[in-house]
Amino acid sequence: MDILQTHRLTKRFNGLVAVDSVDIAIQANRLTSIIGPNGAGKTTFFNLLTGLLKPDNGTIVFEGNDITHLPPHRIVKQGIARSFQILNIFGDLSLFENIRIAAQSERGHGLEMLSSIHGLQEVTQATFSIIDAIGLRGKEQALAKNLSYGDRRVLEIGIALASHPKLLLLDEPTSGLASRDTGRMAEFIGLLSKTTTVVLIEHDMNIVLSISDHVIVLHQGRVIAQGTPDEVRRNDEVQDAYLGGL
Amino acid sequence: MNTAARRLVRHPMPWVFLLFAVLPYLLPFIGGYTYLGTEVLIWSIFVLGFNILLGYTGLPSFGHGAFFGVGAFVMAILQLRIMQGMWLPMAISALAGALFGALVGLFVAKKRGIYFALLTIAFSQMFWFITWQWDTVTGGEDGLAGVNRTAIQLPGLPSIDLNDVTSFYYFVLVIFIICTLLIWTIVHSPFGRTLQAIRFNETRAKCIGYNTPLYKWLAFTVSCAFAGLAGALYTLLRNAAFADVMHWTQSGNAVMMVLLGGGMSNFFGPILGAAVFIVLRDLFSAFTEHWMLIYGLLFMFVIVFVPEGILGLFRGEEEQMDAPVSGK
Amino acid sequence: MPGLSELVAQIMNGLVLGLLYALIALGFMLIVGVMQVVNFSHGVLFAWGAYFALTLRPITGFWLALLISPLLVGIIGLLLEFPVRRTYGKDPLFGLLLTFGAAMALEEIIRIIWGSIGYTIPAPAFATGPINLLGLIPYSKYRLFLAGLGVVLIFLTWLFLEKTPYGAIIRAGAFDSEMIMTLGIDLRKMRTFVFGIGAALAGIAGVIAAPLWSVKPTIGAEAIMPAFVVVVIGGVGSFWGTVVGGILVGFVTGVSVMFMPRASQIVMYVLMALVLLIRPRGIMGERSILEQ
Repeated sequence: MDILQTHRLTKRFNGLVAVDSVDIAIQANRLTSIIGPNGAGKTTFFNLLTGLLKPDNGTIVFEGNDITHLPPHRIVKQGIARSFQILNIFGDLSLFENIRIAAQSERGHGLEMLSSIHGLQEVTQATFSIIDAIGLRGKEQALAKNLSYGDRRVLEIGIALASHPKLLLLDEPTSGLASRDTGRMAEFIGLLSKTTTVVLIEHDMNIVLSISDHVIVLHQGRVIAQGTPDEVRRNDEVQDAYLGGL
Repeated sequence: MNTAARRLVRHPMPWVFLLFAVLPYLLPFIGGYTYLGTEVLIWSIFVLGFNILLGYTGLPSFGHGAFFGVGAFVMAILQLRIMQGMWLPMAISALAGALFGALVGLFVAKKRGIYFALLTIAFSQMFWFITWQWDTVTGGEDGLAGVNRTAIQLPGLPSIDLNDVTSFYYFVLVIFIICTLLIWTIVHSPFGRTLQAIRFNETRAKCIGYNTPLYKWLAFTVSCAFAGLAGALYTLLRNAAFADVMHWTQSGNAVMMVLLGGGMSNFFGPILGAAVFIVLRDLFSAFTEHWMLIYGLLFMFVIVFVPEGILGLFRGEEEQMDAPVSGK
Repeated sequence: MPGLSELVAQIMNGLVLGLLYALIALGFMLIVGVMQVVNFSHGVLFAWGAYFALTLRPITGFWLALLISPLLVGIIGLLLEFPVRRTYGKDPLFGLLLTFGAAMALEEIIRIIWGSIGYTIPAPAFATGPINLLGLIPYSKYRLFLAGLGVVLIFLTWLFLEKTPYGAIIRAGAFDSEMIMTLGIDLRKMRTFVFGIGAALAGIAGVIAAPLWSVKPTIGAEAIMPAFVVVVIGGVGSFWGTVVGGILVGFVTGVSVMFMPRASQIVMYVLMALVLLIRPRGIMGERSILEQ
């Protein structure tokens, strides 16, 4: 069952085609990886899916609904959440607040002006369970910007998790991580994919090959191959494009 | 002492209220006078409300004086032309502030940063010119004089004449206390927390499901309601509404008060800023007719050397408003 | 109903005003674009230009005053850039407040030196009196001169920005300071220079506007507000947006003086509100740094 489909999705910047008539189907409850050289259009693709960019052409269908022109906050409500390649956390807020504010949105309490946040038991509980899930218990009081890089990368995903998504988009979550942390991140993502549909943009081939159910290869904005990790690995075009040395 | 009492004692708010309660008796010792204290209270209401927008949401409105002015003039116009009394015009002034804020907010809610500032300046200028030109309504250059304060009639007690400077001070103090508690509640509510998130990372706030322009618009409108109320009180203070309340320097003064006091990182900053500002202005203008020069240099000094404001000096590196939330 | 010659004269007035607004706004925009600083004191610098001209004219005559006055204002700008430096990269609020304080101080210094009453300054001898447009319509010679000078100055600014290497650096610096630094160009010197140029443009606008607007301390405020509106209408970061915006604002203001004089000062704000509804980024605005 496809949870997400794009039809001829296109985005141009000043004459340069970043995403070129892309047709993709994401199956539910699988981990799909999107790979491709730098500039292949992967992050742009995510930006289109999450409403941060408007497509020039094409449609995006999520769970049967056309979400092509929805603004970001409505897309989150539909059930898609996303983490960013370049850390996009609330650095000046505490770790706890980073997650809590996302959980608060998910529960729909944002517009309450005359009550206290301490009355939102559900939100607080949800926050603690996410903090446990990402393994950062004990660090709630720290300001996010003072956490270690590895912890911040995990927080980056935690914020997205707090939106209780049906589809989780992770943009290079291991970016800049030391190899020891990379392994743990991969494990974590693997665990996540058991309960949520995950789409992963990744450069680390080991991770891609070990945890993905399905791999899509983008190059210069177009899909040049897709299939199981093995199929993709053996594909000539892909090897030409950038893999090399697998 | 049990924990509730202990918490109360450690919280700044009761102390602030206490200080203001005894202020009229302290002021003469520092060369001040009660009228000055009332001004500080009125401006505190204005900038506390303004800080919802500036400090908590991070939106630099440089034209907020216009909404203060709206409140000031609506109060005068209502009382002089349409109705008797004080309470209803005051309430309507606050609503008028909110209404105009809502209108201007529609134009600026999707913007931020310098663009936001430029727009608010332009709109406030529009208000200024309308005030000047539409003199049949606003009195133009002359303003509207003759506003009075109605006596307060509490059941069973003799009526309180608000024309007495001290009585009026305590009247304003009560309103100040109510407003401060209200604003405290708002900024510590789920809504208030969302505003902070928007301040620190609007894009991510969107991506976790917040319709950020709506929140910005609401913050704008709410802050304008307090501005309107403060303006009405100011008219009652001066028994008149003059066009100077709409001048662009008022808006700049409001921003300065917030910054000077450390309002970007502390709830009480605006109050301190308003107090220091008004006292200094009084001092300087007593010294020289060219006090604007000293004022302008003071602005520059603060920005260059003390940009975090007075209370910000005690803060350290954290920028988050008040203490981090920890779920306890 | 105004007669034809009145109508034409008023339209001309509007265009002349527009060119002046465009000139003022350009200097303002340069600083906004390159340093993301909203220079509140831009208007007062305009006033300083007028006041310098007032003092210099009797001594040096019109043309030298036209040359020296902006240089002096440019120096004030260079000096002002020092404290402004502290605000780069910070919340735009700080730059705004700093220049706001500077504007207050600078205006008060004018009052201390020259007093608060206004002066009138006559048009230079060669440009006094009326001239006949198309042989039919009498029009102020000085306004025509001002228009011509305005066009020349705008053109020179454009030339500088588009055709000189230094101008290219300034334009690039508006968007990519890292690149500038890797090219080995001293970013700090460039910023100081740009501030000086922006101030000088304000100053020269003040000189040429003086015979029209008279010389009083409040002309600073009268100059800066249209600059804000022009930048919003024209779109931030766009040279032609600023020019077109300036002319448009001046034109609309000038024409409305004829039909609804009391509302003429507000018309530009109404225009701004309208433009924002239809094109939120301004007429020629690009996705701007100012929205960050």
